[in-house]
Amino acid sequence: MMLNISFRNLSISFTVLMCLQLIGLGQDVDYKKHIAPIMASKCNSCHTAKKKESDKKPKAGLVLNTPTGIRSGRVLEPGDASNSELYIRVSLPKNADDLMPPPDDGSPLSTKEVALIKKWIDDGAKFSSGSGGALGKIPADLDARKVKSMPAREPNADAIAYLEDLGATINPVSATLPEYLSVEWISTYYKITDKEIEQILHIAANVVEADLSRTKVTNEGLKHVGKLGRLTHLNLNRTEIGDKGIEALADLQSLEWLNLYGTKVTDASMPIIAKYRDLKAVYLWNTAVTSNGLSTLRKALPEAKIVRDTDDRAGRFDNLDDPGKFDF
Amino acid sequence: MPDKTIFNKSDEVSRRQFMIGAAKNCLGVSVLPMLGATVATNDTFAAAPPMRRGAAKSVIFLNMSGGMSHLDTFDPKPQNQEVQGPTPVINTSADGIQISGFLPKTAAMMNYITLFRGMRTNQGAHEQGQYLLHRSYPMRGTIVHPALGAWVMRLSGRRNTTIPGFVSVGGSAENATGGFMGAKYGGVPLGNANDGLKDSKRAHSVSEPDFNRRLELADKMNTTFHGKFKQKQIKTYHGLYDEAIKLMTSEDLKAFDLNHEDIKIRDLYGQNGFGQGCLLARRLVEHQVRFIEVSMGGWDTHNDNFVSVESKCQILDTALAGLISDLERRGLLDSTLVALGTEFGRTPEINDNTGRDHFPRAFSCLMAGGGVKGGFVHGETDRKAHTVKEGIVTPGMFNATIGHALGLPTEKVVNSPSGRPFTIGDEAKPVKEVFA
Repeated sequence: MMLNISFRNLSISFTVLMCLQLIGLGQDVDYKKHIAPIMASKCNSCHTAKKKESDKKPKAGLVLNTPTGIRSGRVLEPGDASNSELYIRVSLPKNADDLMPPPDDGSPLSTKEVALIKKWIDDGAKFSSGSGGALGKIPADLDARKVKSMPAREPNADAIAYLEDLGATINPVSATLPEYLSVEWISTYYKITDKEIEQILHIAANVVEADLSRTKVTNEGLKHVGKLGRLTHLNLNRTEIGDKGIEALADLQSLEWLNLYGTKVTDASMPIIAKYRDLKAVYLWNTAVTSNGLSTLRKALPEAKIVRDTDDRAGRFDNLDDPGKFDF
Repeated sequence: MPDKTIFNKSDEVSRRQFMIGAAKNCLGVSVLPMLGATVATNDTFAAAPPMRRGAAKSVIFLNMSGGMSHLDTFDPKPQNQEVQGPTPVINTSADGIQISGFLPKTAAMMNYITLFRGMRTNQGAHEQGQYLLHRSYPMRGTIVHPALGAWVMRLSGRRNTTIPGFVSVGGSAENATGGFMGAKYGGVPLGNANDGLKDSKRAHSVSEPDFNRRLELADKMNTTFHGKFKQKQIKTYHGLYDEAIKLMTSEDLKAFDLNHEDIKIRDLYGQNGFGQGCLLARRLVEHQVRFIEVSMGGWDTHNDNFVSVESKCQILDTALAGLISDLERRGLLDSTLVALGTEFGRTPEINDNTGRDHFPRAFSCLMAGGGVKGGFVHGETDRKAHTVKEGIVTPGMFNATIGHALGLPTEKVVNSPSGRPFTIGDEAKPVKEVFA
C-alpha cells in the first residue's frame, strides 16, 4: 500500500513537472486567465455565493467564485500549495474520500489544471495581476469633486483583489448597498504606507469609509485620501499626521465621522474641520487641541459630538475620578 | 505497517492530547486554549457585512454572576423604604433617571446607557439561570446549547483572522462553549486578564534559531507523514501549528498583554480582576475581536446584602464607567455594544440576615454604545420592584437584541447535529425600541 502511494505521488509530481514545462515555467499564472475558468467549470456548480435568498447554499459554506470567497474560505496558504486545502483536495489519489470534485458527481481536474493551481498558490496566490498595472493609471487630476460626480457603479473587482493582495479588508458598508465600500487594514496596519493607501484611488468612487488607524500614513499620503470625495467615515487615530495633512482633506465635504485621537493635529486644523457641515462626531483625545480650538469647533458645529477626553457640553468625563464634584 | 485508519479510530480527545504533547515537546510551546477557536471556520457566512448601517462590530458582555440585586443597583425604589433598605439613591446625567448611590461614576455615564428594568427569567437557581442567560434556552439533559458568543461566531465569523474571535475572561469555561456547534465556534477562556494569553510565547529555554530549527525538523517529518496520509483531519492539525506560529509572531498578540497600558489607564478601570478584564476587552476590541465576555462573581448576597453589594458596586462602577468613557474617547463606543447581564434579581423583601434571596420575576440589565439610545429606560417594575409592569424582556430577547445590534439575522435557524432547529434567542424578537 505504501509502495502504491509513493508511486502515485511520484507519478503525479512527474506529470506536474511536465505540465509546467508545457505552459512554460517562466510564465505567470494569472487568477483571471487561468484559475477562475477552472473554478467556473469544476467547482462553482456547488461553491457559489448566494445571490438571492432562494439560491442554494454554497457547499460547506465555501464560496469559490469570488476572490473574497476563496480568501475567506481558509483554503489557501499563499506560497505553499502543499499546505493549501485548495490544492490538496484536487490532487488526492483518485480513490480518496476527500477528493474534489467528488468522484461520483463531476469530472476530476486535469493534470494541467492541477499544475496551474499549484503554481498559482506557490507564487503567492495573487488575485490581481501583481503590480496593479492592469488597472491602468490613477488619473493625476483626480479630485474630491470629480470623484463625487462619478457614478458609483459596481466596484472594480480587479482593484478590490489588488487592494486585498496589499492586505486590505474591503466590505460593502451594508448588504443593501453593495457598491459602497469600507476599506480597513486589520492585522496588517503596521506595514501600510502612503504607497498602499494611494491604491485606494482605484476604487475612489466606491469608498465611503476608510480606517487608516495605526498605519504609517503621512501628511503627504493624506493628499490621496483628500480625493476620496464620497468619504463619510475616516479613522486616522494614532498616526503621525498633523495640520498639513488635514489641509489636504479640506474637500471631503461629506465627512460625518472623523477620528483624530493620538495624532499631531492642533488648533490650526479646527477651521478646516469646522467647515464639515455634515460632521456628527469628531475625536480629539490625546492631541494638542486646546479649549480655544474646541470652542471654535463648537460654535461652528453646535450639533456635533466633539470628544477630547471630555465632552465639555455634557460635562461627562472631566470629573470621573471625583464624582463628588457632579452637581446633580 | 502504518494504517490510516488508526487516525480515524482514535477519538477527538485523544488526538488532541496527542497534539498537546507534540506541540509542547517539539516546539516548547502550548497554545491549546486556542485550538477550538481558531481552527477552520469554513461554514460561517464568511465576513458577512453588517446588514444595518451603524451596526455594532464587537460586543463586550459583562456577566454579573450570582444574581445582581436590582434594587441596590439599577432599579431603586426611594419612595419605598421597606424594600429599599439603607441603599442611597442618586440622580444621573440623564434627566429623570435615578440609580443606586453605590454607582456614582456610572451615574455620570447614564447619557450613554439604556437600562432594561423589565427583565424576567423562569430560572431561579444559579446554574440554570446562567445557562439561560448565556444560551437563550433552558438546560436540557439531551443537548448542550452554544453560548451567545458561539452564535455570533457562527453567524458572522471573525473580523481579525489572526486571533480568536470569542474570548471569555474570568468566570466558568462553560460560558465559552460552542455547544452542539462544536469547539470551533467556542471561545478562548482566560482565567486572569493579567496573565494574557498563556503559553503563547516562545519558551525562555528555547532560542529563536533553535525554535526555527525545530520547526523545520517537524516540517520535514510532517512532509513524509502528510505524503502518506493525505487526510482532512491531519491537515487540520497541521493548520494548528500554522495558526499558532502566525499568532506567536503577530502584532495582534500584544492585544493580550496589559503591560502595554499606561498605569493611569489601568487605574481608570480599577486594579482588580474585573477591572483589568474590562481593559483587556477594550484592547481586544481595538484588534477587531468580535465577542468578549468578562465575568464578575459574588453577587449572591443572601447575607449582609448592603455591605456586600456596596463593595461589589465599587468594582463594577469604576470598571463600567472607565470602559464606557475609554471606548468613547477612542471613538469605539459607536461600534461596540457593552451589555451587562445577570441570571436573576434579588427579593425586594429583606431577609433575617439583612440579605436578599433569589428573585427571577423582575430584575435589571443594561446596554451602552453599539447604536443603542443613551439615557433611556426600557421596562418598568411596580412600586416594590416586585413584578414587571411593562416592557418584559427575557434572556432570549436580550440576546436577540445583542444579535440585532451586530446586524445578525436573529431569525436564522441553525440545526443541531440531530436535526433540531435553534435560533440565537430561542425565537425571541429583538427589542428594537432601544436603538437610536
